[in-house]
Amino acid sequence: MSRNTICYLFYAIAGLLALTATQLAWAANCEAPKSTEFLAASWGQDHRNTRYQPNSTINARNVETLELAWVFALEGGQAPHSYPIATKDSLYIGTQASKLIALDRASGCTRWTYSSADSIRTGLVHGRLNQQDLIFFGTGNGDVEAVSALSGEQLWSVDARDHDAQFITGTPVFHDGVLYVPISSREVAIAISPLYGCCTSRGAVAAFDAATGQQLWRTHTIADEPEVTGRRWLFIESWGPSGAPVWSAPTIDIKRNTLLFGSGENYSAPASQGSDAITALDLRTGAKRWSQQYTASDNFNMACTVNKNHPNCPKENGPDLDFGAPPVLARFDGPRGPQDIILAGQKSAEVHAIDPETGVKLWSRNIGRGGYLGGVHWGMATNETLGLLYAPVSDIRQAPIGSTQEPAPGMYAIDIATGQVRWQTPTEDHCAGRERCMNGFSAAPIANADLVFVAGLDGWLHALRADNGARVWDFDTWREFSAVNETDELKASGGSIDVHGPLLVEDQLFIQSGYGSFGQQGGNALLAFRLTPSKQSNP
Amino acid sequence: MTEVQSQSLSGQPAAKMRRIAATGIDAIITAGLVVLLTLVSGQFEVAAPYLDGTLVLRATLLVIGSYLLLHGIFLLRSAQTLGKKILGLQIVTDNQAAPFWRLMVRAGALLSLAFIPVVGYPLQALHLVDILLFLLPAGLALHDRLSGTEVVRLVARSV
Repeated sequence: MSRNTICYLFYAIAGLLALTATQLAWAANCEAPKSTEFLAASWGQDHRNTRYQPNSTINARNVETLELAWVFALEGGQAPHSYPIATKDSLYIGTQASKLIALDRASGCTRWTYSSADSIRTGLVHGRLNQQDLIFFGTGNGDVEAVSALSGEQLWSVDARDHDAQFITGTPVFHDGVLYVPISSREVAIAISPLYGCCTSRGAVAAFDAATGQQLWRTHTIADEPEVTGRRWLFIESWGPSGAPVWSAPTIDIKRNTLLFGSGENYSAPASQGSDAITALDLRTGAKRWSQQYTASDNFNMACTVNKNHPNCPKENGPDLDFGAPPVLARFDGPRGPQDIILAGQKSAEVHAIDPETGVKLWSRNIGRGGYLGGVHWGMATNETLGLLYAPVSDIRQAPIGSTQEPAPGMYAIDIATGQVRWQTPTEDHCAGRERCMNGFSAAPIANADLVFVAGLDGWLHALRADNGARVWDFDTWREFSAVNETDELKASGGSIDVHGPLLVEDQLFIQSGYGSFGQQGGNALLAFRLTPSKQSNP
Repeated sequence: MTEVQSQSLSGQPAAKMRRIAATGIDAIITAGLVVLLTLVSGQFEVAAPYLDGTLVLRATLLVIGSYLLLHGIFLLRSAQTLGKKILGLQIVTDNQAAPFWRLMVRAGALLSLAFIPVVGYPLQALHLVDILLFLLPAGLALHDRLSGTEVVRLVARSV
C-alpha cells in the first residue's frame, strides 16, 4: 500500500468519525430550552378543559399546506399514554420508557432527557412557582413528579397512593400553587385473577403543594371504607364498595372555587353513589359541594371480560359507563348574559349539561350507542365563539353494551346552550385490509377558531370545519415513519390513535400514533406537522 | 416370623404405567397442597404480587415448597416420592438409592419441564422430548438422563 493510499484512508476514516460525532451531538445535545412562554400548558389547554387553542394559526384556507416536519420514535412500548405541552421553542413529552423528553419544536432534536421512576402515564402540565417553570406528571407506579422545564432536573417526587394498586392515568392540573391529581387503580385488571380478593381501592383526587409535594387534602370518590362482603373457597374474601376511579384531568371552576371531575364504575358490590358521577369539591379543603350520578349500580371489572361467572365479576356485570372525558366548564350567551355550564360526556354516548352552582342536570343528549370503550371516551373540545361543543363518538363494534341501538361513530357538534346537534360528521371506514383496526373516534379532539382536529382508531387524522363539520384535511398515520432519533433498535410506527389526541401550537400540529392497549393497533410515533408558508395561496 | 424388607432390583425398570400413575399421584397431591397453601397464605389475594413482578417467583416458590414439604422426607430417607412409595417404586443410581443431590437435579429438571408450557413455544419441544424419550423402550425420560437416575420397582423379600 502506497504512502498516498494510507494518507487518503486516514483522512477518509477521520472524516467519517467527525461526521458521526457531529450527528451524535446533533441527536443528543441540542441546546437547552430557552423559552418559558408556555403556549400549550395542560391537557385541557386551560383550567376549564375547553381543549380550545387560541394561538393556533391553522385554518381552513391553509390547512392543506400542513406537512409532516419530523417524527420522533417514543421508546418503551406500543401504547404511549402521555400528552405533550409546548413552549415557544420546545415540546415536552413523556414516554413508556420512563423518560420525560424536551424536544426542539422545530426539528425534533432532543434538548434534555429526564429519567422518571416509572412509565409516564399521564399528560404533562406546566406550573410557574417562585420564578421557576415546572413540569408535573403522574407515573405508572403512582408517583407524582416535578421537573424543571429548563434544566430537566427533578424538584420533588411523591407517592400519591393510599393503596398499592392505585396509579395515575389522568393528567394533573395546576392552579394557584396547588397540583390536583386524579387517582385511578389497576384493580380493575388485577381482578382477572380468581385468587384476588376484589376489591379494596377507591378512586380519589388529591391536592399537593406544588412547591414541595406535600399533600394538602385527599377526597375519595366513595366515602365508605371497603368491608368484607363475602368469602369463597373458605379463605378468599370479597370486598366492597370499591372502584369509581378518576382517570381524567379535573377541571377548575375559579369563580365558584370548585374542582370538578368525572368518575368511573364500581369494581365490586355494593354499588356506590360515587361511581359514574360528576362531582364538585371545594378547591381549598376537598370537601364535597355536590355530586350527581348518571348511571346507578354500575359494577364491573375486567374479570367480566373473561367470563361473567368469574368469581370476581359482579353480578351486575357493568355496563361500565365511566366518565373518561373530563368535564368542560363552558361559557355561552344565555338570556341573562354570559353563563357558565358544565358539559360532561359519558361512555354511554350521552352528553350532559349541568348547572355548576347546584350540580342539577340541565339537559342530556344521546349521540350514539355507547360501549365500554365509548361512546364519548377520552375527551371533548369547544368553540365558545360558535357556541359549540365537539363530542367524538367511538361506538366501536368490538365493545358493545347490549344495546340494540346501531353504532354511530363520528364527530358531533352540539349547541352548548340547548343540547341540539348542529352538525355531525360520521367516520369513514378505512379498516379494509387492516388487522386490529377499529372504526371510531375515541381520542380527545382539539379545536381552534376555524377547525376541529379529531383522530380515529383507524389511524386517520382529520381536520373538520368548526362551523359545519366538512372535512378539509386528512392524514393516514397507520404506517412506518423515518424518525429523527431512529436507531437499529428503535423505529417509529403509527397505528390506532386513541387517548389524548392532537395538540395545536401556533403553526404546528402534534399527534401520537399507535395505541395497543385494548386490541387496537399499537405504535410509537410522535408526529409533528407544520404549515408550509411557500405552499399557502395568497388571500 | 416373616419380616418384609424392601430392596431395589437392578435391571428391572419400573413399568411405564406404574411410573405414570406414581407421577399422577404426586401431581395431584402436590397441586392440592399448592392450592391449600395459596388459599391459607393469601399470597395472591392482595395487589402487591400483581404489581411488583413477583407473581411468577411466588408461584414457583409455592410449588417448590409444597413439593419439598410433601416428598422431602421420603426422598431423603429412601429416594422416593410419596406416589412412588405408595406404588413401590424407587429412584436409583447404580442400583443404589439415588443420592439427594441427584434427586434435586431430577426434581428441578422435572419441574422446569413442567413449567415450560407457560414459558414459550420453542422450549415446549423439550417437554415433548421428555415425554418421547420416556416412551422409548429404555423408558428413560429427559429428566432421568439429566440427573443420571432411573426408576425401578421394589420387591418384597421374605427373610
